[in-house]
Amino acid sequence: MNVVPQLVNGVALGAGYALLAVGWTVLLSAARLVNFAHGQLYMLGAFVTWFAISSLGVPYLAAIPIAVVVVAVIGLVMQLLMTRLVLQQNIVSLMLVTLAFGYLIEGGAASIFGGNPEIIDSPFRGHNLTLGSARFTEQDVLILVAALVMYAGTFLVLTRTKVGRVVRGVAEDPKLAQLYGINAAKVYVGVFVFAAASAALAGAVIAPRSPILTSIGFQEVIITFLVVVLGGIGSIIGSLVVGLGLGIFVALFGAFASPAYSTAAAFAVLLVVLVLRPEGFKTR
Amino acid sequence: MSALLEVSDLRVRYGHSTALDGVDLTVGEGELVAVAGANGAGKSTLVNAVAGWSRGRATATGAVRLDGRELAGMAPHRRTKHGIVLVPEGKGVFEQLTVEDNLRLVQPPKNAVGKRYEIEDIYEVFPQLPDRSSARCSTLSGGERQMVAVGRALRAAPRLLILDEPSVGLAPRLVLTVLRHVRDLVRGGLSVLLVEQNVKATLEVADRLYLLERGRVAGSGTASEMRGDERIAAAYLGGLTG
Repeated sequence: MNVVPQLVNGVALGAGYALLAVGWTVLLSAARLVNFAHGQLYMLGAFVTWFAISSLGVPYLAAIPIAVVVVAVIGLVMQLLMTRLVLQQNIVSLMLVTLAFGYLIEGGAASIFGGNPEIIDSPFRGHNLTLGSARFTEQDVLILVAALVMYAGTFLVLTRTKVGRVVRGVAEDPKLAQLYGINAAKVYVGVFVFAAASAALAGAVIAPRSPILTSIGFQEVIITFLVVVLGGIGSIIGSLVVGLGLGIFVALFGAFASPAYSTAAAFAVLLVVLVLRPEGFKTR
Repeated sequence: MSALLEVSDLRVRYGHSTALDGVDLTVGEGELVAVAGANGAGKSTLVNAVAGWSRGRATATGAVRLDGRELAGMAPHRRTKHGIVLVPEGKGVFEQLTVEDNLRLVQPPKNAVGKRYEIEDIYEVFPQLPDRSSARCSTLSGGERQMVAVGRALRAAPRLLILDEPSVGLAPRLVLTVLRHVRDLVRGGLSVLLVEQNVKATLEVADRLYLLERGRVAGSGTASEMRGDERIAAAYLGGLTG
């Protein structure tokens, strides 16, 4: 059996995992927040994209920003409703509250968009490209490009800009940040909205690979959690590397062992890694 | 002298325990006022409450006025913008950020009432810092961190600079150096509220001193009055002859 097609498939899969995880990585590192509705926001991004194309007649590339804005607004509302829990850094309550939001979003989406599998009509999904014996679509390339651009952009903003310094300061010590004149609550809102918007982008870009259902969110949130934890909770580079690595692992495992057990195998890796290195793959 | 800072009947509780029990205090324009007292007397609680800040869950009541303006209930980041800038005890810088990033995080407000400090001005005040500008603060010595913390505070163009134990962890001979630095800033027009363990050194630079005991003001006066105060002499100056 040839390894190259599986590697290429794995890179596309992994770029998707990484893209989905970038928002949560920033959310965890900058705000020590979790959002178990992340997968449902991804699903919503996918469905808004689908709705804009199939019902409003908007071209695919214009539907993406629409989905991003709609989901960002929903993220903003969520965060404003959770402000007090967020400021108290009440993680257990936040897990439950975001989980509840996730189920609400899923139920709302099912009642609006229906329970049938839908296909996002992206012009890039039908175009096949070849690289040696590997075949992939333009959509796969778009996923990889989107992931790399998002990671590079996020990395540059966090390390090189005033906004990045503020976010890193709040991440290290939100109480001290207040003495620097920083309103930590505002930073939390900004980071949460960014995370929601990036989940929507991931949905709009990744979901055209396969039919979408309003129930896809939960599987996605689990994979994201895996990437973020293995990447070393809050490490940007770590999430990119682990996302790509996990995609390749799942593709190879699926091809050479059994696709039915690839998720279980990925979690087995998580167990082994966390037992040996509780801080994940993070080096520092 | 008209008071820049006026604190009256300040009470702070942590849950059911009272940390501050009706404190009155003033700081005048261009004055260096020190707060002394034993561990647990409420010194940090007092200055944190003036800045509206707490690492724990403190509830404060009473009046805190800056230039006649009531600040009680105002969030700490907004008090900073009004000119009350606190350098807390212990960790006062972001350790994962570089020296320069820490300083750049604070922009002098556009309508700053206090003196504006550009980055170069901070480096002039602390000539040791430029060489370490791109070093992460976690790699700095305690003294260097304290300089960054004070530099950061100056960037906010404070009207009232609050320093909580700026000399903690410094070699004894450096304590007076730090305090003289503070005195120089006051000479430049800044008002300072200072908490300091080393009372003997503090009395050499401060204009006035408050003695706190179990959350109350046990005594206050000018530096020379307080040097003669029996309680100060007995507890901090090594006997009456100290």
